[in-house]
Amino acid sequence: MAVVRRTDAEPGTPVRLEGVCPVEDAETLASLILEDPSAPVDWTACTRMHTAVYQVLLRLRPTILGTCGDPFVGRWLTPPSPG
Amino acid sequence: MSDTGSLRLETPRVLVVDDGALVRMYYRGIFERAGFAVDEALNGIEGLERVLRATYDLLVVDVNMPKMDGYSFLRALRGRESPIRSIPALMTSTEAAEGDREAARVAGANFYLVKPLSEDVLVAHARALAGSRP
Amino acid sequence: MNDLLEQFLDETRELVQSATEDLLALEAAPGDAEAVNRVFRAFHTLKGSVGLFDFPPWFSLLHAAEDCLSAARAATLAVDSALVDLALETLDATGRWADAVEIGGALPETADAEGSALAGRYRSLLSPGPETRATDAPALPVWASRLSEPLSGIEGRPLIAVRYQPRGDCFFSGDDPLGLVRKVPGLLAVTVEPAVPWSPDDEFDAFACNLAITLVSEAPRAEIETVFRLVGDQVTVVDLPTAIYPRIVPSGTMSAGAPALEPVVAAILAEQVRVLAASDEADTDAGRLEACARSAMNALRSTGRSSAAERCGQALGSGPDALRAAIEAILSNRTDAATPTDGEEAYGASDPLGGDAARTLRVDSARVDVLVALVGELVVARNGLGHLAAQAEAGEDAGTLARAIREADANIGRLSTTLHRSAISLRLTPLSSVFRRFGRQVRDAARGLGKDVVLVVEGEATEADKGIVENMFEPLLHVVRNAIDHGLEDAANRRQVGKPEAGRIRLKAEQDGDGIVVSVSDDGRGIDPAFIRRRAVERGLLQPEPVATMDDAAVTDLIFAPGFSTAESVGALSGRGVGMDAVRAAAARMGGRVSVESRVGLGTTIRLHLPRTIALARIMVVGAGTESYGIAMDAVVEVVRRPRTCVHAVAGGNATVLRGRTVPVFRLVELLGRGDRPLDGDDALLLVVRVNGETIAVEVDRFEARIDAVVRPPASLVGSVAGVGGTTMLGDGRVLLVLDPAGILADASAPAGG
Repeated sequence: MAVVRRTDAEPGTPVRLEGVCPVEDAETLASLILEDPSAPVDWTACTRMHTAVYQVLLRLRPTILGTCGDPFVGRWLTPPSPG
Repeated sequence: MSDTGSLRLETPRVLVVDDGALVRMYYRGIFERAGFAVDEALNGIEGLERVLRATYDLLVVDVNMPKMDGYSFLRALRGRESPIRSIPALMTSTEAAEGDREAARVAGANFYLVKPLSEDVLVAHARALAGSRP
Repeated sequence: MNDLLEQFLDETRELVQSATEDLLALEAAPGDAEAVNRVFRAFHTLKGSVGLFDFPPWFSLLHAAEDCLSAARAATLAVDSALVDLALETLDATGRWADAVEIGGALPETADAEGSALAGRYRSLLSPGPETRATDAPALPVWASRLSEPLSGIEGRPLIAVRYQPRGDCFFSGDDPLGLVRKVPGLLAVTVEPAVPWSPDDEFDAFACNLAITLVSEAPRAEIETVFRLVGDQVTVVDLPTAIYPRIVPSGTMSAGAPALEPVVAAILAEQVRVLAASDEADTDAGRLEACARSAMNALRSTGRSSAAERCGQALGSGPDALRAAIEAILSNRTDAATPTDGEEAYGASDPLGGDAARTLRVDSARVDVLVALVGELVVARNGLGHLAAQAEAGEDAGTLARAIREADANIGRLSTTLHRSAISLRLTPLSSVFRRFGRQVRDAARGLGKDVVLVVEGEATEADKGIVENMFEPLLHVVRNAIDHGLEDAANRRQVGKPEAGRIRLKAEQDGDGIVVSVSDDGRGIDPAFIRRRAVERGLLQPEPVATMDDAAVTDLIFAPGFSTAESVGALSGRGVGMDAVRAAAARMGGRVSVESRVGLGTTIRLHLPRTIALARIMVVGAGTESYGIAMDAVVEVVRRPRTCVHAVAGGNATVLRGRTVPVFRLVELLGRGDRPLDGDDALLLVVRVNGETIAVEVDRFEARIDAVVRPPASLVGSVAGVGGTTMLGDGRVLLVLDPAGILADASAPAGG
């Protein structure tokens, strides 16, 4: 699992994307953001992001921390602005 | 110094300078839907007459027109000693080549859109140039 | 027929006529420069007019003709019989195509080949070589023409633009659309946006793909097509004219969180830099400089960047170089140069998914005045509390104090309720903002289907909450397209049954109690209940026997059932797998519902019953069994207590006589599926409710309270519970389910499994 958040997290604790984030991570990520919309998403350690995961960020627009560790995403895709 | 265009709260006013009756009708529909007041002129000479008589926030100017074309119209406007010389102008043409774009810049057009153009694109640029909020 | 198209056809025929005469005169007297000029102008106007519509082969042909005639006018090309013949053939094609457009709304299938053959002959007149020009490319689709800003450094190189809209279920088949994009060689820009705008209330399905990916590459077309060969049906590839540039701002340099300049604003700023550089005439320089400053400042201000606009204004005084430098600084410091306030200010406006609309409201000043007056009264009422406290301290007796406190409480309660209503009225927006968008939509849809449609709009001044107004467009659009596509017959059929050839769509809004009703009516063929019955059985939605016993209205309502589509074939416009169930779902999300009324041969009316505000609702709290439920008072006509002996068993249920009318009686516990307790008490407590124009009585076990409350739409957890219109919080913190009587009854009377 490459979507990481401490289970005892305070509201606002970042959700971290780590390593390869496959399609299955989309649902996990979505539910974490929906649970705590104030939580930012740290994508610096993500090395490869599936389209479905990017779509979650585009749709739910959490605050994004840093530049995406996936070079393709970091180079070409606009970080979804927080909403 | 002229009015440098604060954000306008009243209805923005656009002058469409184009010799095609149908094209003017098309623009009129689009701009009225987008909340602009619309006036029309058939060529550059009429355009100059209009601009001297009323206040506009934006000019939409065709290139190729009889009597006075869009380039000459813009040159004449920009060369005047009057605040009207600062009215933003959007030039529209069917020519997409870089040379045509450059000619529009030289004449003093502030933006250049290639026809046929989509309603969304036209309105978005017109609003930004006229300083009205979407 | 719509005005513009009608005018276009008239004008085209006139121009064809006059240009034909001039060409014939030219053939007799080739040196007549005036006639050449008139022919040129006719073709020029024709081209400009055709360009307003989406007829690429026609536009390309006239463009090629205009180029030749322009050369003829400048006397660089001889006016010989080859040119005259070609021009006459072109006018001939133009006349035929105008007829085809008038009859069928589209060019004949042969137009593509015929147009490019003629255009090729024009080109060979100008230059006998095999040269092709960028402008001869067919007109770009809209998404590609949006890529409309010149790309510095890339000009002159051929670029390819790709629009890739993956299928909604592509994740399930293992696709990773961005994975494909990663493989595209020569990538210059990529944007990913929702294919269909997300509605804020939609439940989010992480595994349904709703993306449209647009990219620009400088690699050869064949290499790009190779990458997408397995998803060719989801991809459109076009050659970009060389000077057209992606609107995408290269994003690699952007740091997260900072607002990017909107593409349009960035494009306008960049263009001012070029315009300032293009100056060659001293006498127009001052005007050009001021116009560039004004354009740049307007563009910045239009998205709320006043301090950046101010910097341009200051630079204006120091001349063109200073202005260029200021604009370039704003362009290059997209992210961090903005001051914090500027950034924040800009952020609201730059929100790409309509956040700006949610943040700014145009408010009638009279409504603000009312609000200010109410706040004043509230301040006075609060001062009264201070006075009471002083009285209590002075030893006033408890009875007097209690009375005074109760009065103050009632007063403050009244004020806060009024204040809340007034605040909510600030969010009221007229529906005209939505209705206005339908002129174009109807025109396009009708044209796409080759039908004549007259759109009539009524009640556009009706107001509703901004959120509701904004969310009704999509479901309404779906209904309107359905009406045009499936409701209206084609012209021949209409003639046969004695209707006017042009179909009529009426879009109407009206206030209805505390809510609004938005209806779409057509004068088309209507919905045949027999057909629906047959289809419902075929689709396995219902068993034949219950269908036979359902009345026609209930049968017609089945069009809203999931998986039901009345279209014999999937329509190009409204098919796409989305049925009327999506419309029902959209209405439900807004706290509303849909209904349909149809008469065979006469037409169909679909109504969206929507709340007017997301406001305080007056709720009656009732008990059913051991539980409490809320029911909106709007629906309750009266509350009566009847001796149980007056409630009679009748065929299919219970009924009682109220004011001389027989009214069916339903027990709430039974409607909720919790009712196997015996009846107790001598009296039945009845809520008399009006639902869909019918009066019914709902028997409850207790009346508990009447409250005013903000009803929230059902959260996802209870969203699937039948008949729940929303939830609200009781004073003691319990969550109260607020029932929608229409919903419960619909579900109670619906067939099993519905």
